[in-house]
Amino acid sequence: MKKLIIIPAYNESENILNTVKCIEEDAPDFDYVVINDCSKDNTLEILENNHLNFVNLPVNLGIGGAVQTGYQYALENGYDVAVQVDGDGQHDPKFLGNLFETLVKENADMVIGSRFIKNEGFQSTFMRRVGITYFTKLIHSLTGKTITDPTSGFRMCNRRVIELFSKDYPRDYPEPESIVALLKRKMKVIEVPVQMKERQGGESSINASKSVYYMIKVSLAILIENLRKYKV
Amino acid sequence: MTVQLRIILFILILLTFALFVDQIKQKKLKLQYTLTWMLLLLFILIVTVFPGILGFVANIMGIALPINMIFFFGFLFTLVIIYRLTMAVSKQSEEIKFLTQKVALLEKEINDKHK
Repeated sequence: MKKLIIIPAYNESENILNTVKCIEEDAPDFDYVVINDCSKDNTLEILENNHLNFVNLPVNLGIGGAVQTGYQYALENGYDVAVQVDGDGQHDPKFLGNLFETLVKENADMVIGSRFIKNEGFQSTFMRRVGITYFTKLIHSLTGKTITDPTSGFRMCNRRVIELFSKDYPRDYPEPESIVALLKRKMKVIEVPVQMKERQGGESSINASKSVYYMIKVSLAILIENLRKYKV
Repeated sequence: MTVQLRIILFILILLTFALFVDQIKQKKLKLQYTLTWMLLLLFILIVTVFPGILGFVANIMGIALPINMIFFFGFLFTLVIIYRLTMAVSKQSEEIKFLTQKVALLEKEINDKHK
């Protein structure tokens, strides 16, 4: 099976090289592609000089658009499995093997690496955990399924989901919404425990003023997604 | 409405209409997105030529002052125009996203071939 790691990178010059090195060491059976989302710093230069495998977006598309490009790349190049690993070093490639085994063994459409099953590793800030719990409850009340870490970007999916996401993926803050999109299609989404690290440099895309927008936008997106009807 | 105001409005509308037609002719504006503007102009034009309509319709709709009806309809038309623009922006952002991704992936393919 061909397995691809999608690494979205926006202004990740401090972390990107280290992230790719970790992947090459800890997950050698995976291919990777870095999606440079029109970074303003010298991320592109680093990618070129170190001959990393990358796709360079000429216009900034935001995290959703960048990751979707990764799914399109996976589709075009015949990958069976794709997993998102953030460029900031939060996601430890050591867990990829476990994610993959679970995907195959459980015949799942998506496997999410969750921080909140074993509650080990970096647990995010208190306010963020409140927000995450809220999304867990919202998704549970709409779909009946419990996703303990709906905002986790550390997610692996099969060919079927790769096809779906390359056509249709939310542009910003895509994680919780796209889980609901899968659950509405009666696809199998399961979680496995992982530990995440605190980001090793660079800046998070969500600051205080954006978090209010985030909560409202993602809530509405989930509610509207829940209204959509799909043939199963 | 006084006669002066009606004349001024009439001239203004004709000028605006001419501007629209000229811009469409030069392909700086798309007819598709100017149709709502045209409707608005037509509405004001009719009201200017036959101000009696204003009082009549305002009366039927229970609006006390005819001028308020102008504001009301002007506001409605503006909302329709803005709504159409929002639709256009949504569609275009999707299209631009798709094109950006396509360009990036093609560039990647070309670069790989040259290696």
